[in-house]
Amino acid sequence: MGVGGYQTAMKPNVVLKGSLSFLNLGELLQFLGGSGSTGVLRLSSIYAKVPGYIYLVDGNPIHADYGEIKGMEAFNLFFGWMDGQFEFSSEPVACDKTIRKSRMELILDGLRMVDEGKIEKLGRASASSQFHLTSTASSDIPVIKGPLVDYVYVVDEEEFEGGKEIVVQEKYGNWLWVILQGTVEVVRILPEGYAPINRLTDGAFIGGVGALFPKGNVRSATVRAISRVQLGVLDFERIFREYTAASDDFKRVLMSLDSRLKQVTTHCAEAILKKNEGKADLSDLKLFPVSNTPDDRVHRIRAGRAVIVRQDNKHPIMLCTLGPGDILGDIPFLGTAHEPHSASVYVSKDFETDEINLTDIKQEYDDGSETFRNLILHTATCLSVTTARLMGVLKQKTAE
Amino acid sequence: MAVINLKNRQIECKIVYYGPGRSGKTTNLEYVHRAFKKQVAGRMISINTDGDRTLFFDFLPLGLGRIKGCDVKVQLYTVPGQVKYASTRQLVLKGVDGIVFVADSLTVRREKNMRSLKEMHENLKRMGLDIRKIPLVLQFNKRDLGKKGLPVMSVEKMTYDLNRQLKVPFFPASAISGQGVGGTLTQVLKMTLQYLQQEFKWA
Repeated sequence: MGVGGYQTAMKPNVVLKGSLSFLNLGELLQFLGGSGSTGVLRLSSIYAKVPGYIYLVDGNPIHADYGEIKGMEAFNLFFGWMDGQFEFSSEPVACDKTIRKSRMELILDGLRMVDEGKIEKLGRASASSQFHLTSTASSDIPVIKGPLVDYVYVVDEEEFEGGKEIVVQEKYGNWLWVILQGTVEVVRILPEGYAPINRLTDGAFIGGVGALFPKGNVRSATVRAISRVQLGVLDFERIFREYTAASDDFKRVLMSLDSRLKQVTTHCAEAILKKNEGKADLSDLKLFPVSNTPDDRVHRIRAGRAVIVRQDNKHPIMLCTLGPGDILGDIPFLGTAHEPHSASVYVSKDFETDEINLTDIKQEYDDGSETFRNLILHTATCLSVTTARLMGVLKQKTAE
Repeated sequence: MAVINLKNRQIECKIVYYGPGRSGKTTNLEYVHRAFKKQVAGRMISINTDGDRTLFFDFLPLGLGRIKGCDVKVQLYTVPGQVKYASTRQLVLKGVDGIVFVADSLTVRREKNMRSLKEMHENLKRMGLDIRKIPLVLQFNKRDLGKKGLPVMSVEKMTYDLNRQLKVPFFPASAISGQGVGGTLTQVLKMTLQYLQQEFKWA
């Protein structure tokens, strides 16, 4: 198989897959190296335009490509991918050797370049670390960028001048836009004032999966243009048809995701505007070990309530509360920054769940149109970024 | 956490030389690489990091026996001392089985030693490891500089500063001439293998 033709080749024999935010490239290459694996490692990220490929023979990388970029240059770039997915397919590799250094040297050198800032970090980790660094009001706000826009779903274009409100909190409307150019700010309004939550720029959506639900047409935040923005109006009917055709479990995953985002956004706004520490009250609750769940299963809550918390230096911080019908567990394609890796779950005494199989849900997701999937991913990214912002705001408060 | 490589029937464990920048971690490993040639497997990999070099090579500790029929391969690493190399340090420290903390005997480096030890403690804690449980050996390096008239701290003072609570084995050393290097390595290897045997009930 030729190197350039890999993308168009038939479905490979995938033997290992997962998330780079859990197992980073350095660790992954050590693992594949230790087992002397031969095959192709495919890396994908919503922050990258195309997937990247690393070709391994007997556990050692011999070639890499990322679009037009080949060899060492491409290989080193991948160390900056903080979020993303990997898939390793075991198969014979026949391509020219462009990488000649030893595995450990490549890994240590790649990480050195990340630490020295010579390789750009790609992913939401970079967005959240940026806003941790500074303390002035506007630079504190994380910016979310989206993937390339699929114009098939854009039915019209609109422009807004800087300062104009595109969406107004509490007003009705279920239009969905994708930002073609420019930056907008998402603001949650509380009686205490305005709390800027995050900023969205090229490729990101205005409106999330919540717009698709019954009674989902009340806007939960205000969105205003920071600069002159050009928006693409999305074909709502077409996306809505895809949503209505989905299975009940798939819909529950989306509703649960939206519910989390709304709650975390509220907590974030409260943390910005009020003096509370965001501490979760865990009395009468017990720890629920989500990490013991098999990889291909998640929980659907039947009774009781679950509280999702993340630990900061001092307290467990309340992220959201889930109830009957909500979904708990690790959904790999969403890659949210909640349980099991980045948050814990506490449940009430009457808590009961059913297990649901992820295989069908994953298949439904894979079968969805690119725009539908991007809308879901965008909501998941907003959830991760807003969670990180909440923790950042609270951390800053403690420091003060 | 040692890795059992079923393919080669080898137990791979990781020993890291930690310490402030320029305390002599690299000099230690360079000496080991030269002096224990027969036990070194493969070439030494050296990455130039600011103010330091990060070294790595495989080491086969002869004479320490096999565990459950598996050979033991030790990976020896240094970490880059500078603060900015967080990702490199994390990867190197991840799964560490034994640590040599190389302290600088020069009086002016006193605070750097203490700060580096504290940082190592925090890094280990973040990985769920307990500094009081993990095999750890201290080395008070650059003893030779005292003879050259430079102000160095006494071994007692360094023990008080760094080892008052830990109470781990320590070695005065002069890595540039090799004095104390072998003793430090042998001690950490012995402790690491004992620890692994206990941990996995391999013994």
